[in-house]
Order: sequence, then structure tokens, then C-alpha cells
Amino acid sequence: MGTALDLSWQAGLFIFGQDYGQDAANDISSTYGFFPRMLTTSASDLDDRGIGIYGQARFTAWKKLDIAAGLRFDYEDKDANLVNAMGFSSRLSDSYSEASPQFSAAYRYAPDQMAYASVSRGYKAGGFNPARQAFPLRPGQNRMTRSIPGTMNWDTRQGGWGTGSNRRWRFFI
Amino acid sequence: MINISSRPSSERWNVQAEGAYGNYSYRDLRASVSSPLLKERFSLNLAGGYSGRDGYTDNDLTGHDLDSRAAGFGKGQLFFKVNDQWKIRWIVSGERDRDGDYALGDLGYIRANPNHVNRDFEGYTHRGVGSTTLVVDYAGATVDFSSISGGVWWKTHSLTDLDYQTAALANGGLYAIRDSTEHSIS
Repeated sequence: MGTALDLSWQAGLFIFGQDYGQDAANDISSTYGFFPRMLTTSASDLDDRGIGIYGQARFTAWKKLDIAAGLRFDYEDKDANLVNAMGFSSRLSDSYSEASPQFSAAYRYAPDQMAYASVSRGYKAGGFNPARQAFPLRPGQNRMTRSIPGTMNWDTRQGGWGTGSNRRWRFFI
Repeated sequence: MINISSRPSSERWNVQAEGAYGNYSYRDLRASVSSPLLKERFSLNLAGGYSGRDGYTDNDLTGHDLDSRAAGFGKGQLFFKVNDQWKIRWIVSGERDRDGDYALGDLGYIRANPNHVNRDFEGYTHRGVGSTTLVVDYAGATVDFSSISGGVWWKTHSLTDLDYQTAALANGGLYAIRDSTEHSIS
């Protein structure tokens, strides 16, 4: 784009699948026969499928100023088959999607010194908790106790770093 | 963000080995060998090791230590340079763990006897992990391309005491154990 302005970019595709299973058995008895033996089992099967698409572009002006922007879109589809210790079975399914932007700027005011600022949003899809199997809730009620909502957070950073003359000192802020 | 990069090819044949030994019979052995680029196309990288120790907590009922750890692991890489633009890397790794039981017990007993429990059942946690990754890189004049495909398989089997005490008349002869298995492929 000319000597004053330079553009670099990156784009990517992320595809994944995961099958998870958990089987547990609790065996409780009395050595002296004071109470009958209790054998309880639980099982969980979780199937996840997901795709993520991202792109990022960075403009560099006069080899001193970097301005970057990026966007990632995630989609995950999750199925769960949960059987609790009381024998109640639940088949649950849900999908989660989110777009996560990112912006940053950096200025190199000297060859070995720069200041920067960035803001980005992170995202983790929700899902189902295989450990919440203790109580025989009815279908519909299960969903609230076993479903984990997706989470996101904003992250902002500002700072700078540099190296002094003759490389005798350096700083990070 | 955690970025873990596999070891690149070395410029010459490189063989390393190291070992450590400590109290609680701690032992750690690991070794690696990596080749330079052979015939301008291939390189090989192998690494593996074993690490283990005895448990920190003793079970006074049996005299055994309870929470020992032992793990063997290995990793291999094969690098293939097709030409100046295309490069392929194949990575295979595995791990096998044979750990002791959780060091849990009656709180009053542990407070009176730190690092000691009194239980009538001793379990374990066994774990196996395997993974493989294929990395294909293309370096063009204006655009670079990278493809990373991988799979991970793991399985964990835990058997443990559930009541963490000894069956006695005072607790009705309670004897409880938990057997759980987790497995995943992705």
C-alpha cells in the first residue's frame, strides 16, 4: 500500500468436536449388616461440535503507528445425556454463539520504545454439568441446575516498554 | 494466553538426558534426541521420561503410603520439508499415570496426626492420554498458510474410599467406595 502505509492480515478457521463420557458407581454397605447395601450409578455423555472464524487486520503507518482490529465468531452445538443416581435420564441440547471484537493501537515513538492500548472481548461457550446429578429433578427443572451459561469478559490494557541508551536500562509499564 | 511450541529441529545431532532423585523416593528421568535436517528434507525429534514419588500421607491401618505419583511420557516429531514453500510436521505424544489415592481422611484424626489417615480402603487414579497432530505450513510470496489438525484421547479411572474412615461399631460398620471413569476424544 505504499511506503507510508502497510497492511498485514490474518484469517483462520477452527473446527472441533469432542465426545466426553463419565460413569460412576457408589457402593455403600455395612460390614456388620446393620443396613442394606446401596449401589447407585450415574452416567453422562456430552457431545460438542464447534466452529470458529476469525480475521484480523493491522495497518502500520510510517513504521511507527500500528492500528489493529479483529473479529471472531464462535458457534457451538452441545448435546447431553445425563442419567443420575436415582435413574432419571435427561436429554439436553443447546447451542451457543457469540462475536468477539478486538482493537489495539501501538505507537513506537523511538526505535526501542513504544506505548500501546488494547481492548478485547473473550468468550467461552456454555454447556452442561455432568457432576450435578444428585437430585431427581423433573425435566425442565434439570435444565436450570445442569446448564452452564456462556461467559464473556472485556479486557483492556494500556502500557509501554522501552530500552534506554546503550541498553543499560529498560522499562515496562 | 498459553502458547506451547514444539521443539524445532536442531542444527546438529543433539542428545540430552537428565535425572533427579529426592526424598520420598522422588525420581525423575527424562531424555531426548533430535536430529538435524537429514538429506535436506527430514528431521526427527524424540523425547520421553518417567517421574514418580512415594506418597506424603501414611495410612496407619495398613502401613502403606497413600498418595504416590508415577507417570511415564513420550513425544515424537517427524519433520518433512517438501520444498522451500511446503513443510509438514507430524507429532505424536502419550502419557501414562499411575497415581495413588486421594489423601483424605477424618479431619479430627488428621489434625491430631498430620500426614496420617486411618482408612479401610485404598484406591488409585489411573490415566492414559494420547494425542497426534499434523501441521502443514506453506510460505508464499504474499500469503502464508498454516493447517493444524489434531486429536486427543484420554481416559481416567478412579477408585477411592467414599467414607474415608474405618468400619466400626460406632459408625454402623460403614464401608463405602466410589468407582468412576471419565473418557474423552476430541
